[in-house]
Amino acid sequence: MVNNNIEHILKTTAKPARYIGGELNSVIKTDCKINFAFAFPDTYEVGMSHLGMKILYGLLNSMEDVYCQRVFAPETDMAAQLKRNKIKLFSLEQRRDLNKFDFVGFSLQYELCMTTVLYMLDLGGIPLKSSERSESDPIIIAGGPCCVNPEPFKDFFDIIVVGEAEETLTQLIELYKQHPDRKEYLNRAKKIQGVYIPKYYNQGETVQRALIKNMDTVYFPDKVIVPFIEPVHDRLMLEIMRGCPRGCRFCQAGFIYRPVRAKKVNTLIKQAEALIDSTGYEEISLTSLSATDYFGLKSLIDDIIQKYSSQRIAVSLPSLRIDKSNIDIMKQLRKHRPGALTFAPEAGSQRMRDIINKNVTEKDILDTLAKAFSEGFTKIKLYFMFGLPYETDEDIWAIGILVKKILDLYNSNENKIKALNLTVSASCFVPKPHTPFQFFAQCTQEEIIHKTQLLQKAIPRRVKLNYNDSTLSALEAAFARGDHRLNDVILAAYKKGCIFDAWPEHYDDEKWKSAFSDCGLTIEDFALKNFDYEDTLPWDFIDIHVDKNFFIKEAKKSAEQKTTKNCYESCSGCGIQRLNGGCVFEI
Amino acid sequence: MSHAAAAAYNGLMEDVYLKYRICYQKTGNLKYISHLDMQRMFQRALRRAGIEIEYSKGFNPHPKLTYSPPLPLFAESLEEYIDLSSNNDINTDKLKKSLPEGIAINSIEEISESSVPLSSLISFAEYNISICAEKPFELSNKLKNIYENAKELKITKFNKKKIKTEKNILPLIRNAYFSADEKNVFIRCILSAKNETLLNPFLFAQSLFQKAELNFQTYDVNVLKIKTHP
Repeated sequence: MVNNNIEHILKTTAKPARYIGGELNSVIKTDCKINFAFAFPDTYEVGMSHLGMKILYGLLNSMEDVYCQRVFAPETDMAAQLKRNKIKLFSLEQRRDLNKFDFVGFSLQYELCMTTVLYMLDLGGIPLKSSERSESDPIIIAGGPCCVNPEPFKDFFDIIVVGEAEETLTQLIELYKQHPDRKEYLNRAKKIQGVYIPKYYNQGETVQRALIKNMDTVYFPDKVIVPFIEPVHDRLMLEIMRGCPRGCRFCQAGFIYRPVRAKKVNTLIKQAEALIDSTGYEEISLTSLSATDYFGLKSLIDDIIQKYSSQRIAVSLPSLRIDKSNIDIMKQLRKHRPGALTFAPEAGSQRMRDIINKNVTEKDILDTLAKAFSEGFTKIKLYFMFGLPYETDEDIWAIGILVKKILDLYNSNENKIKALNLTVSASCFVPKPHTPFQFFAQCTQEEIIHKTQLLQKAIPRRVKLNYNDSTLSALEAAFARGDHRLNDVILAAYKKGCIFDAWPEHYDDEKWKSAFSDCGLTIEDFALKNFDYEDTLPWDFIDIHVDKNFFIKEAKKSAEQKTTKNCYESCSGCGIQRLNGGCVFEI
Repeated sequence: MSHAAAAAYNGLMEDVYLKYRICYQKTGNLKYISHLDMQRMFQRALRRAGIEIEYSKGFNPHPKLTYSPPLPLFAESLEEYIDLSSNNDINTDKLKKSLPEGIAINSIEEISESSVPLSSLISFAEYNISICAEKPFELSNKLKNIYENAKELKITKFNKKKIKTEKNILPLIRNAYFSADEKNVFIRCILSAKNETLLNPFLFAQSLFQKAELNFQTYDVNVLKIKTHP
């Protein structure tokens, strides 16, 4: 069970520290009844940056009799070594073979991770399809935001958890203690909120998304693993609030994490102290979908900065809502570390910003940046989207016009010391399930190419412009709104050698195209599909507690360029208010 | 009363930093952790232990920590150093608890501001290189002959412009002794450890294998740094 002969492999592998475990705060246990592998279908550096993994790792290990260990996708050089030496993919903590666990739980954070899941199952000696697994194989669980449309990958999982997993996972473990027999277990597990068992699903049933009611009492780790090598996000993450009050019509997270649930400032101060003391991290990021919408942000930041200034702990925020009052917050944070300001206007024209319900005016944008420039910020990142519903060429030009206005604004500032460092990132719109834009097709490859060329002309040369691969966006769109037919495509693509598809250096467009055509399908069948409002959608059986009728209403409003107020201002009646007799916000 | 507390009591208050030299071992799985990653790890361990270290002044302050010359990846060591300045006392037990498995503290001593810096203190390092081989005695003799008869020992390196250069490392070797048991060849050697002429023990072994026309990559090689020499 325990491999000791990997020493010689590690010395011939790139970044061996990814595979050794033993980091500070990693959990060591012995003789636990239930062994749970937390599998992340990406590299160590990506997986170790993920907050959800840290929460669930801590939660599972806080349970007596449960040992949760981590498994990441090995790079191809390591995988080749494992195969050559007939070693199975193993956990970091105990080097336990993946197929020797009771559970393997995969975190599905983005659509393009599915072939990597199969790659890990394969390396771990586990049959790829749920129907091929027997009593002696681990129970394979999926969780994460992709599970709000589980149909494209349902064949590969025994259990799919829809929604926030803290309570559901605990219930699943408790149930397993009572009923370890696979068939009986899965049939009983079906009754837990948020649990979808593809094998025992009956037509007409609804799966209700699980969600946490009280963020102050729900488990949050008091210590997290401190990796030796640098993960993508090398800082503490303190979740201050779940959900977002805004309702941007393209944003899936804005709907599938409703309602807004904030932690109390006191809870957060205690959690921040415990995390800083147990890790020694030099930076703490206050994470939320919309951190500046958190009511206690200023007092929380004041408190942490005051307490830890002698230890030089920096506080950071993921991105800022466009509002000039937020510049004061950034000014306060900058005292400890100079940094870039990140804003997401998302669209260049007011017409387009109204269509997506961004609720930000050009005046808001320019006022905010004027304040930022007057405070001496010289590094700005702006995020935009293109390929949105109802978009015209003028809307793309408008991005360039807005960027030029920002440059002029900076140049009119007489006190400027150096040139503005402005980066514009543009990404192609991907329609997502459970959003008002779920009905809309993505634009065609030709349109995407046309729009990116237009964008290159519209944006002044001295501004750095980033945009992503259009073929990747199309595949992402296909999987986001796909159905059960994609299971065979995923398997076919994996068999052709597709893995790590989200990494441009691994992504192989030709292999994917041929995998689709082997199954009698095309990427366009899914990415370019327009749904009617009356159509039954593949994800209609998943109830995220936001009504389909609300999405239809919002989609219709977008056609008329009408906006909807945020949850703090007035209730839009999306459906979530029916839980617990209405949403309560502290503002 | 502790030194730092005494200094503070004497009215000097802030900005009184005392200099400490920590000697430690790096063994086990930590051989897979690079020098750069070790530096980040130490900064966090010191913070966990409540040790407030001195930072450089200026726009982008960074912690003032001095490390002994970098240990190559895959090598273990019994003698590594860090020099630091702190305005509070070092609680040894707390520091030990803050370090991951594989780091063991040999000693912590307070040193004076004027004491010899690590870079001048260490000129050579003594290593034990063990090489797993099928015929260890034969290999040991072969390598010994090559070493003793060599007029120069060359390694190929890529310089900053990525141009291949050759370098004779023989002057960087103080001595080397060869022995063997049933499984391994052992090279006990003292190599230059000055920052600018630091000789990587793996490269030394590799240069011998190259001369013997053997493929170094196929051997399992372990390196242990035993001690440093002035």
